[in-house]
Order: sequence, then structure tokens, then C-alpha cells
Amino acid sequence: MKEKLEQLKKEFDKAIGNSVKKEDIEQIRVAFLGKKGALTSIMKEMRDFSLEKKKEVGQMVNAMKSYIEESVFEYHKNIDEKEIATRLNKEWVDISWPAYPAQGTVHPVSTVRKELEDLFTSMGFEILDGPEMENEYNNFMALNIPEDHPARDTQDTFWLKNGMLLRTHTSPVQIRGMEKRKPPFKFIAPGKTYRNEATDASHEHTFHQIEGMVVDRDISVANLIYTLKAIISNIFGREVEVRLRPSYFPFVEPGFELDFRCQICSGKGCSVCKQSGWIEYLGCGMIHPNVLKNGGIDTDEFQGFAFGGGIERLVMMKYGIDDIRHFHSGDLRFLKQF
Amino acid sequence: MKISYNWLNDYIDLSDVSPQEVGRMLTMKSAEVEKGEWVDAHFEKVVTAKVEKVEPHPDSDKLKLATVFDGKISLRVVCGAPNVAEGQVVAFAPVGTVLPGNFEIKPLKIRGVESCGMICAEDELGLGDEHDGIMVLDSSLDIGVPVSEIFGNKDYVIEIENKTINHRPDLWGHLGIARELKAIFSKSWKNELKYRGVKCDKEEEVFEVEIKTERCLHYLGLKIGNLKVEESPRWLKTRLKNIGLRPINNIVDISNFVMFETGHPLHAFDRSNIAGNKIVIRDAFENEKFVTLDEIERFLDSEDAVIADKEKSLAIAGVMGGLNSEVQFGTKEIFIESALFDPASIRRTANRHDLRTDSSSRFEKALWVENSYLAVERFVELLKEIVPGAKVVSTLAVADNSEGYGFKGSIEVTTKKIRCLLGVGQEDLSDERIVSILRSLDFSVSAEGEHLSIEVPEHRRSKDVSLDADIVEEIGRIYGYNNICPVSPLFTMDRAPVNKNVVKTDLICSLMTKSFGANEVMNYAFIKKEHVEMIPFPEDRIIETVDERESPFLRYSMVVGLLDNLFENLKNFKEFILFEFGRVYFDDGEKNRLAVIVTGKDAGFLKMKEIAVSIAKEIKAPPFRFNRIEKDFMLGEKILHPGRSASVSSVKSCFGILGEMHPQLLKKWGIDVPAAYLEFDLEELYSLPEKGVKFSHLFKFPSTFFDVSVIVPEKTETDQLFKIIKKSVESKIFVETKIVNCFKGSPVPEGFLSISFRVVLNGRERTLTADEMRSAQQKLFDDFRRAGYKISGD
Ligand SMILES: [Zn+2]
Repeated sequence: MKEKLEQLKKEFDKAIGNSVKKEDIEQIRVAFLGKKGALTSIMKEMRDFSLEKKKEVGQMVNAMKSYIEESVFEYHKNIDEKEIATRLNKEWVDISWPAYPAQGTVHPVSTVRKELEDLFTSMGFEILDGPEMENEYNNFMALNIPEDHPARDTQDTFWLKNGMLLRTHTSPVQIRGMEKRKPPFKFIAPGKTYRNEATDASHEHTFHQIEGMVVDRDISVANLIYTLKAIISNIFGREVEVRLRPSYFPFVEPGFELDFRCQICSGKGCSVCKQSGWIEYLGCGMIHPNVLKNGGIDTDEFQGFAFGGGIERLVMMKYGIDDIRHFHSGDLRFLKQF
Repeated sequence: MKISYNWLNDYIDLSDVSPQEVGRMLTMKSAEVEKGEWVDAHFEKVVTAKVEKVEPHPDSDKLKLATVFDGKISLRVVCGAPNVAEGQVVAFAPVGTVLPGNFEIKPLKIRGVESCGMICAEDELGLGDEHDGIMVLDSSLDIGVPVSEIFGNKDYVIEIENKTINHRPDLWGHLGIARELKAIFSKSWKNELKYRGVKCDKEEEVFEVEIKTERCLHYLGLKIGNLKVEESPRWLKTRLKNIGLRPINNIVDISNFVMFETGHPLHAFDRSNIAGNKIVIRDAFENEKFVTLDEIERFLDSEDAVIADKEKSLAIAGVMGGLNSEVQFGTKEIFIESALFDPASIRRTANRHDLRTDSSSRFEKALWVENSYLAVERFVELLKEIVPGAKVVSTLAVADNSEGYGFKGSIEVTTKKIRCLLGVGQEDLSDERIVSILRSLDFSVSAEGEHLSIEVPEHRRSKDVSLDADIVEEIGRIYGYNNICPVSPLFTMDRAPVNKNVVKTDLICSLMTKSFGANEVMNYAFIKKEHVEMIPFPEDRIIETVDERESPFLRYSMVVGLLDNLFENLKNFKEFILFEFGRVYFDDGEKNRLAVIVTGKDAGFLKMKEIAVSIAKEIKAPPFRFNRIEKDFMLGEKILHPGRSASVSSVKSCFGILGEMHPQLLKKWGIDVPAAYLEFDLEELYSLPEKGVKFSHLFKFPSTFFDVSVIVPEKTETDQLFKIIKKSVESKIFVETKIVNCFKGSPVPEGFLSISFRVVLNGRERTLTADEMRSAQQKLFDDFRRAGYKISGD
């Protein structure tokens, strides 16, 4: 019996000797350990053995069985390792193959508008909206611009056949805002505005403005300067020098133009600031008493300031865009850059 | 408006202030200066020189070689002028001179001969139009002196942005600017112009004036005789030229000079063309024909005022004179008018006739009565200086209609209020300082403690100053806004009310870009006639601009802009999603909309539905329902494919449409690839109630599932099948069901498709038994069969 088993071991070693395929090994395993396998038939012979012999041969058979199983396991393991090594050797990726961001893009005007909104809301301003199709009263009259006022020259208007107009500025929201609120209050109103003029690289008939209004008991020019300086500095992420110049807007008195230091040349003078070192940015001023009255505000108790500026100009400066017409082009080659 | 620095020095002495500083301070305190530049700076470089010798050019018939002596050395120049001759005194521009038009004289060779400088023609010096020959000067002149001694000094011209002085009628002349600078630089008058009275030299005629219209407020006129109309003296021509005016003749030039001095327009009529001696200011007749000085025939109406004699109209009041009474060379006597007209009427007339003149733009700013007297006096003064024989041959004919015009009262304000509005302390801006600033601006002030009673000077009273806020502006700008120290406002700590619409728009915007890779666009509100033809809409609901334009209509659907975007971008891209937040406009108001367009492999109904349900989740809206579009809701029948589109609703409102685009519409736009579209009304969408999230517990025991494949006719809505499943399976064991497979073709019969559902079950507090599973499955099979569907394998 012992010889038989040793013979079997030799046969097994020989059979498995050069096997490299898992199927071959499985066949060999079945040939020895399967139901009809060689070792199984030896075990069948053991049925007639004496108890003592059974025990002795049983041990040998078990040892033989473990030997075969361990060998098969080893072979499997080797093949796996080799296979992985071969696969790793073969598999490669071109890491220079281009990849593209999955997200789309927000319109740059929306981005800057949102930045401004966030900035003002963080300072406690409410965000208001108003119609683009306005009546003459809110757009002009209530803002102290009666018919035949020369200031209407600077605001070429899209008049509509229904007697309305497309708002020439976001300022009518001042009137709408005041009518629905009790002071003190502070709000901004960003939105689209329209001017009936020819379009070129720096002029658009459709553009965005942001309007702001603060009404309280002792609001002053000093407060106006502080607030707008804080806003401008926040937009650029650093302290920016500002200056006020007298200017004329019928709905404020006194009225100013707010300039800030050109951030491109740091004030030395360049083409963007027309060599002046300053960028004209906002129209602002102390709200004209007539306008406050038109909004139902008691001018003996309350006063305030208002401001309004274009959004596109900030966007153009922020990204170095040289033609305002890109904004409404809908051109993906432009939009995808942001 | 252009302001000459030299001219300003007639009234105040600015010799210690550079012209650039004048410009800067005007910008900071009065009005925006657009630019400033030197004119005639070359007069200091160009010198008188004598032509010593003229020789022919060896290589040209036309050119000559001239040797000129500039007082120091002799130089040879190549000269093309036919009139150059030996012995002439000429204006010689040496090398390095920069002539008008930024033309720099450089040494150069002309046909092989070196030329060192240039003998100038009149136009090259900026003195006139003459170009045919060089300018020959008086031969008695000294040689080698700068021509500035003959033609006048260089000047610095400041250009003021007109819109920043719309409210300041007093700043529309040099005198007003000088008055402003007097306050800014704390100076006194060098030559203060004040009305003293116009003397009649010899009364030859009596003129009568009658104002018959509300459009005229005041009228002065005067006859001047013994005139000689000729070219103006050089100093006058230089003044006008430097501020951009073309000299015409002495009478016109003097009245222009006075207008740019006092800001008050004058008009001179040729006396011989006035019939009779009565001037009437009246409304024009309806459709009155009138030829203005620019030789254009115009039709007036009763809203225009005219200056007329007993027979005819002579001028459109305050806007432009008539050709019939124009002052010409040969005019011997004139009638000079200095008037005041109603600003709004002038503005309307100028706009109606599209005739904005220097005169109308001043009258519409609201001038003041007193100025008309000063202007006529200045005219007479200058005329007598320039035409020594001229005589005033009538007394002033006057008519007044100005009662109630301008601000008459005084302004009462406290220094405390002024400081409070400016936000400065008493230590920075004392009561005394406030009073002295006002006085420097010609306001008269009587102060009693902090209470001020202020009289407004005549030149500020017509329109500009009447409120305490106006006084604050005067103090603020002269004190200097940049001397005000910024102070944080004292706000309360309350959080501002949140604008939910803004928040939801931001959420959707970020969802579209982050989850769907979409790009945001902005389109114009305006659309063209052809767009309206392609997507018809009730005419009475469309908004249209008054002006005729290429795109006169306001959009009533967002689709126009997005289709244009689609068409344009297909030239460069194949697959993309665009979205826009914008407005549409109707006769009863405007609406905020969101629109999305998709092209490429995703351009199907399901993609739009996915976007829709993602939006619902993003803004926490209740679940959306999708129905077939009815009654062209939101133009859905025109924009979308009838079988592949839906209207979208939730709770009670229907707020949007979505689906594949109508092939016919795409074709109209020249687009030959499929596209899908979505448009939501945002007011409706944003007003949906917000749905909170409620957590449900995870199952303790594992779930099990079975699949069921149903054979259904094509065009069956899956929604019905889901309903059958939900109704069939007991809710206490039902978890969810979803589609795992869907196909048509063999073995599924023609006209049918097979849809496989996976039904997931869970026993909640225990594991379901195989029997329970089987009986649920069997029940579902039966329910499907009862509903008329076949189960795969039946
Ligand atoms: Zn710059």
C-alpha cells in the first residue's frame, strides 16, 4: 500500500510538473482527488482492511491528500501571481490623454452680480427686483426728472407703444422700494437696464446696473463714502482708494461721481483709465428730498443716500474683456472661458 | 463746452495757477473736465524769417530751394509754394516744431536736397484755410521773433462734460467758470462785469416789443447803426477758434463771443429786413413755413414760438434765426436781441425740429433775466471797440413776462443740518467757514447763531438753488468731499429679509452648471418681425417699441434667443446645454422665466424631464406632474414635438413646458439636428410650497425582490403600469419598483414592447417567507392580466 501511495505521489508530481494553466491543474486534481480519482480508489480499497491497518493507511492517505491539495493551491497561487504580473505589464494608460471639467459655466455678469449681492447681503442689505417695463412716473417723474428736463438727453429711452418704457436705469426700484417699506431700511436692486443707443465695443443698449439705497435718521455723505469704499475694496479684495467728484443726477442732491484708483496701472495712467489714474464707477449722492417725499418718506426725520453703477464695467475689468457685445452674444467660445 | 485758459484770465488773475490745476480743481469741485490740451503751442517755436535767396531745385520743376535767415543763421529749405520770393518775411518752422495735427518738422531730403525746416502756409499754422501758397508777413516785422507776438500766445483749452453742468446755467460761459474759480482759489475779480446801462447815442427810431406767448419770459432789443460788417480782428478770431468755433464776421463773432462769455445767447437781425418797428413774440401758426439760417425749410406749429415783425416770422425763438434777416457783408444796421425763453418750450422745439444749437442748449437750462441786460451791454461795448463808428440808435425796447419765474425767497438752514448731512464735525467745518464759503460764491448770508438765512445770487436762482440740500452741495464741494472722513453708518444688527427668489435662482443656476454641465447665456429682449412670423402670437398681446428698429418686438417666449444661440454654436460645438434666466413681456406685464435648450445625444424628452425633477429637488418643490400640452400652453404646441412633450405642474399651478423641439420650428431656424427645450415660469415655480425632508428608518432585515415582464402595446404610458404595481402589492411589504429592462422586437409581437419591473419587498420587522413572495408575485401577475396586459411567458 505504501508503495502504491509513493507511486501515486510520483505520478502526481510528474503530472503537475509543468502545468501553467488552471484548467490543467484542476483536471489533475480531479484525477487524483475526484470521485473517480486515484486516491479515492485507494481509499475504497481500505474498506476491507483491518482497523489497525485502516488507521495506518488512513494517515498515509490523508497526508497524501493534503500534499496534493497544498500543491494544487501553490500552483494556483503561482499562476495568479504570474497572471497579475503579466496584466500589469500589459496594462497602461496614457496619462497625457486630455480630460475636461464636467461642470458648465455661469455667465460672468451673473457671477459678478452674485458676488455683489453676497457682499451687500452680508452688510444687511435686502435684495429687491423691479420690472424692466416701467412707467414714466417711476423711471423719470418720481426721480425728479420731469418731461423736458435736459437730463433726459443722457438717457435715450426705448419707448413702447403701450405707453410704457424700458427702464433706463435701476433707479425706479428706489421708488418701488420706498413705497413698500418703513425706514430705516437699506436695499440693493440689481438688474437689466436699457438705453436706446447704437452698440459698439463699449456701448450696449442692454446692460446691467446695481442700485442701492440707505435711508435712516442721520445718514451722511461720510457714511456714503465709507460704505462705497468698503464695497469697492471688497470687490477687488484689497484696500482701494476712492474719490468723490461733484456731479449731477436729478434724484440726488448733492450728487457725486465716485471714482476709484485704476487697479490696472495703480493710478499711474493707462488706456483703461484714459491716463487719469481713476476709473469713474458709480453715480451716487444724498437722496433728493423730492424723491424721498415721492416715496412717502418723512424728510424731517429721515435722510439717506443712493448709488447706482454698471455691472458690465466691473466684469470687463475683472476678466480683461475688451468688447461689451460678447455678453449678449451667446457664443460658447466666450461663455466656456468663465 | 470748451473753456480757454487765456480767456478766463480776462476776469481773474490765474497766473499763479497752472491751467492743468484749473482743470483738476474744476473736476473736483464744479464740473467734470473731459480733457485739457494746449493749442497754438507752436507759435512759440515758429519765428519770423527773411527769404534771402530763391533758386530752382536741380531735380524738380515745381520745387524751389529757398535760403531763409531766422535772425541767427541762414538755412536752406525745399519749398513747393509758387509765391515764395526773395525779400519776403515769412513764418518759418525750424526742425523740432510740432505743427497742428501733430506734424513734427524733421530734417529730411527732398529729391536729393537737404531741407532744414519749413516755410508755413496759413493752414499749416492753424490760422485759416489758405493752402495755395506760403503766408507772407508784413515786411517791416523784426526777424527772428516768435510768431506768438503777432498771432497771440499759446492757450490751454479745457473741455467740460456738458451733462455735468446741465443743472448749472451759470457755467455755460467763461464768466461763470471764472466766478467758480474765484471761490475755489479764493481770488477776487480782476475785471468784474456788471450791467451799468446801455446808452443811446442818437435816437433815430423807437422800437416796440410785444410778448404774446407764455413761451417768452423777457425780451430786450436795440438798434445799432453805422456798421461795417467785416472780418473780425485776430484776437477775436483766435478766442473763437480756440474754443472750436468758426469765425464768420464781426457781428456774428461778437455775439458768439458774448454767448461764450456770459452764457447768454444773442441774435442779430439785419434791420433792413424787419418790416416796421414792432417786434412781436408769438406762437407760430399751425404749419407755418419758415426757412432757418441753415437754409432748411421747416414747418412750425403752435408749440413753437417765433420772433416776428408785422409781416413775417424772423426767427424760431431761442433756437435759430431766419435766412430772411441774416446779417451779411453789406449790412449797415442791425437789431440785436437779448431775450429769455421758457426752458421746456425751447427744449421741445429744438427736439421736435432736431435742431440743437448753442443757443437752445443754453435757454433750456433756464437762464436769468439780469444776464440778458449784461449780454446786450457787452455786445455794444465790444462792437464799438471793433467797429469804431458804430452807434446805438435806439433806446432799449423791453417787454417782460417773467413774473413767477425762478426762486424768489431765501433759504433757511442751520449749520448743524449742513454738518449732519455731510457727516463732518464742527471742528472741521465751523459756522464761520460755512458762511465764508457761501459768500465766496456770491450768496448773501445773515447768520444768527447756527441759523442761516441765505439769499441766492441771481445767476443761481433761475433753477439750480432753492433747497437746503442745494446749500449743502455748495458747502460740500468747496469744502472738498475728499476732506470728509469716511464714517461707518450705525446700522442695527437685524438680518435683512432674505429674497427667496434670488436664493432659488442661485440654486438652479448652480444645479444646471454643476450637475448638467450647462452654460448660462443672456439674450436680448428684442426680437424681429420674422421671429413673430415663425412663432405667431396674438398681436394685441405683443409689446413693440415706438422707434422703428430691426428688432422692434419684445420677446414673449425665451425660445427665440436660445434657438439663435443653438444655430450659432452648432458651427463650433456638437453637444451642449444652454440655459437662460430672463424675462418675457406681454400687454399685461412681464414674467421671469427659465429656459433650457439641449442638443447632442442627450437631446431627448427624458433629459428634460430629468432636469425638471432635479430642479424640483434642488428648490424643495413638491413633486412635478407631467401632462400632455393643452391649448398651446406657453406656446408649447408651436415649440415642441406633439408626441414628445409635456406641460409641467405641481400642487395647483401649471408653470412650464418641456420636451423635444418641433422639427418644423428647427427647420425654420435652419437647424438640422434634434434639440430639446424647457421653459418654466419662475413666479409660479418659486411660489410652490417648500417641502421639508423627513427621514425614514433603514430596514433591519434584508429586502427581497422579484421581476415581472409585461407585454404592452406601444404608446402605453408606464405611469399606468406603476399604478397597477402599487395598487397590487401590499403597502406594508412594498419598498419600491423600477424598470430594469425594456425592449421590442422578437419574441415580442409587432406593435408591442416588453417592460420588466423589479419589485422590491421587505417584511419590515422580519424576513419575508418564500411563500409570501410567491403569492405577492402571483397576485401582481393576475392584476396585470386583469388589466388586459400579457405577462412575458404567458
Ligand atoms: Zn489706469
